[in-house]
Amino acid sequence: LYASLAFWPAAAVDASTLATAGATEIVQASRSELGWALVEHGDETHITDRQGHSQTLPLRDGESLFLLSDVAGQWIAGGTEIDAKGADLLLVSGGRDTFQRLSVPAEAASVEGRRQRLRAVPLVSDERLVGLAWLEGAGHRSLAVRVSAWDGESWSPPSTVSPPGPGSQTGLVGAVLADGSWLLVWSAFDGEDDEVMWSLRRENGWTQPARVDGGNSVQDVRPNIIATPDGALLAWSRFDGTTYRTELARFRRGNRDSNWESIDLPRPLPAVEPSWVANDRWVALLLKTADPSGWAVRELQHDGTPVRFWRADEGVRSQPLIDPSAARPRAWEWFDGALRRAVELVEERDP
Amino acid sequence: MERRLVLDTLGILLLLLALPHASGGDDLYIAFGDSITRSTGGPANPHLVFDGGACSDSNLSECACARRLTDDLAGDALVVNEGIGAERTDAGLARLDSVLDTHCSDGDPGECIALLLMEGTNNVTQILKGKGGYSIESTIQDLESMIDVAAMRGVDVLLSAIPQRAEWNGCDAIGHDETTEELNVAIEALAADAGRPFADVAHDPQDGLCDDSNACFENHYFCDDLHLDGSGYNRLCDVFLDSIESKALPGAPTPTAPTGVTTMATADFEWPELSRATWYQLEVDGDSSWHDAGICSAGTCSVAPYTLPEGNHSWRVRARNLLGYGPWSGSVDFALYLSVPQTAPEPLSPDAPIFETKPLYRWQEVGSAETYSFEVKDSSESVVVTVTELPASDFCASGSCSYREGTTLAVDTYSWTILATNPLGVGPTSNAVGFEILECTNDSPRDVEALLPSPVQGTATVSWCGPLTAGALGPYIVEAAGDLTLHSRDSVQLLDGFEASGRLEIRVDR
Repeated sequence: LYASLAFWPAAAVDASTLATAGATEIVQASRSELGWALVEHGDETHITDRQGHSQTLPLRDGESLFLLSDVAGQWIAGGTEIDAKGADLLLVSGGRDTFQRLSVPAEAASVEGRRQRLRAVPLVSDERLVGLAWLEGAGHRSLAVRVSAWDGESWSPPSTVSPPGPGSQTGLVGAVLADGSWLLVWSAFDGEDDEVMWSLRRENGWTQPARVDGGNSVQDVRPNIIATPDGALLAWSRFDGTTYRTELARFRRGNRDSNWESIDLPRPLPAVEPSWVANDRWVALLLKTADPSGWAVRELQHDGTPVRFWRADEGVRSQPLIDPSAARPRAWEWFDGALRRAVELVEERDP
Repeated sequence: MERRLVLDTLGILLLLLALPHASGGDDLYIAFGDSITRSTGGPANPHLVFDGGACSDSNLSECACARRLTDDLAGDALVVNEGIGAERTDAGLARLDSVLDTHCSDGDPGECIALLLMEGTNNVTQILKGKGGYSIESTIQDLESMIDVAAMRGVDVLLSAIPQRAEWNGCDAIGHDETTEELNVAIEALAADAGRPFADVAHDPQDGLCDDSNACFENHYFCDDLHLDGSGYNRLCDVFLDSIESKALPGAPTPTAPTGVTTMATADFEWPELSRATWYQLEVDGDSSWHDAGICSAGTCSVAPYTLPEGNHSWRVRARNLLGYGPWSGSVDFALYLSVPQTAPEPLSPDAPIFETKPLYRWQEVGSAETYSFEVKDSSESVVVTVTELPASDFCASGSCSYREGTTLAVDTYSWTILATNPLGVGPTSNAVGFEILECTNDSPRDVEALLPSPVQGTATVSWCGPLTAGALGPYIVEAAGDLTLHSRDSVQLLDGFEASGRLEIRVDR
């Protein structure tokens, strides 16, 4: 390894990637019949589907992808490109064997100092790209939430959904709801702790950013969202004084004061990194559990009603991929560069 | 930022050899973090683990740190490795409680001494890329919460900076050093705010690990661009141990309050803050609780509230830091009372004719009583017996109190009254209750019915007098007569000072 490292280009190696040597990080498109998933393993990023077909993406040094959507059987992925000048948006798309770079909204000329545009979040509606949201600012503690619309040919001038706050704004995610409105959710440090924030694009613009679940004095972080037929489901991690547990809320359009409705999960395990996969029959909430260490899947109805709970077998080393074509959530594991084996999901009855 | 060596970390160790520590079994130190703690990220030295468990077949000089972390503890302490590769702080926080569950028994919080916490490296790239929703603030919140979770179990935390990566790949290529530096500054500030030691493994200008111009470890301390090799871990251990050696155990605290008598419903325990203490163990009436140094402000440490029953108590306190325990303070006695006794004790017996000339006085216990006093008057209203300051703790149990007074009373009629006192004052006096000392005429036992309270049901005392010889010691037999039913009886008890009589507790009803 010493020898091989010695030949790596100077800027190519990401220290944290090496710190996670052997680890595989996976992002699966939340709604995709083909089961598109990004797999970052070592210094390579692959795109794979539920049939196990895999393509190694020709990413350049400093480029990384971590947001993925399905667009009419193709995929579109957003991320960040880091170079000596700073960070900028990265948006790419492709199919099973194709890959292309897409344009991103123009950079605001008013940004001074080091350029920082992070985390390109593709917004997809009716199987087409309709917009992009991202974080932008002079430094990672002063990022604004920005957005631009795509009309099929060009990007609209970017607008600001949330200006820089008293602390970092991070973890931006978004979804286009069934009625065409755009919903953005992110976490923001309010000077004491992180809160999950949201804003909705209405006909007359974006709503004032507001807390999803009121204010508290504990960490509410790393939200993840999925559109549902009548709104959206949101999961995030909240520190309860002892550990992180998953919070769940349902979004419905209507009176703004009652947009979000908390949903109690019957098995609030110590867990982090909630992510979504859904089809027309079910919604699966995938959780990385801390005790015991592993993965768990919570099946929900589209309105967020808990249905079943499974644990992945203990041998699973990386995030399981959920097969969206199955009648019930079933999973496969990415292993040694390919989808290798089915993950046994053991149902556990809720207390 | 000032480049300085402020290391107190891993170590803990060397001084454990030389300094006394209180817990009897193995003191446990938990190295908690990511692959750098796990020490599996360096293929060139895969045997490097802090617990030394994989060192047996390797060059010991290569894993001297692991050896020192175990050997120097002289068998009285253990360092366990709880590093997980690729882990970020949220996942670390999520699993910490179960890790402590595994290693630290609930009943003995002193068993686990400290968490050696080095985590955040894997957050840095996430922050740089905007990936995953991490920030400097959320990372610090996670580390702060880890301190709190450990604190709930009385486990101390030694915070460590995260290492700057090696310069092979160019320290500033993607701004990694800048973000790492920013996070390390925040970790150091957190350590200062929390009163926890901080190990700055990112800077060591004194010994050339890195220099001020690029803030990078020299290449030979790494087996890749981030993970330490044997010499790197050994160097890390050097700075840990160096800092440990400069520390010392805390002294004995001096309790300042409460002492004497307090009228508070809750007791606030106070003592002056000790400079080297990170934890205090408070013991009240033998029950321990743990409190971190955050309870101290402006030089005074205070624990409240502490709800205790009224009465006499004692407390003491001792301090602890990463090296172990300081000595206990002296034990301090105090009395906790809310008010003077509000009610008079109710006399129970004697309240009827008896043969005993040294009666057993019985009364109901009342709240807030520290002591009881009673007096007995004869038929001429002369006080013939005065008893004061009978400690409730000595003569009361299960709601009633009893005391046998040594004065021999003559055949006569008497009355007695009783009152309760505590350090705040004297409570009301009871109503007078009369009794009669009967003359012993060697006849048969008195009719039980005459001695029983009305209605004739319950427990009563049968007294009798009669000849007492060696052969007549017993058994005396109590039989029910008439329509009385005898349900139970105690053994015959010969009474002190009443040699020619007997006394028996029986339960009867009609």
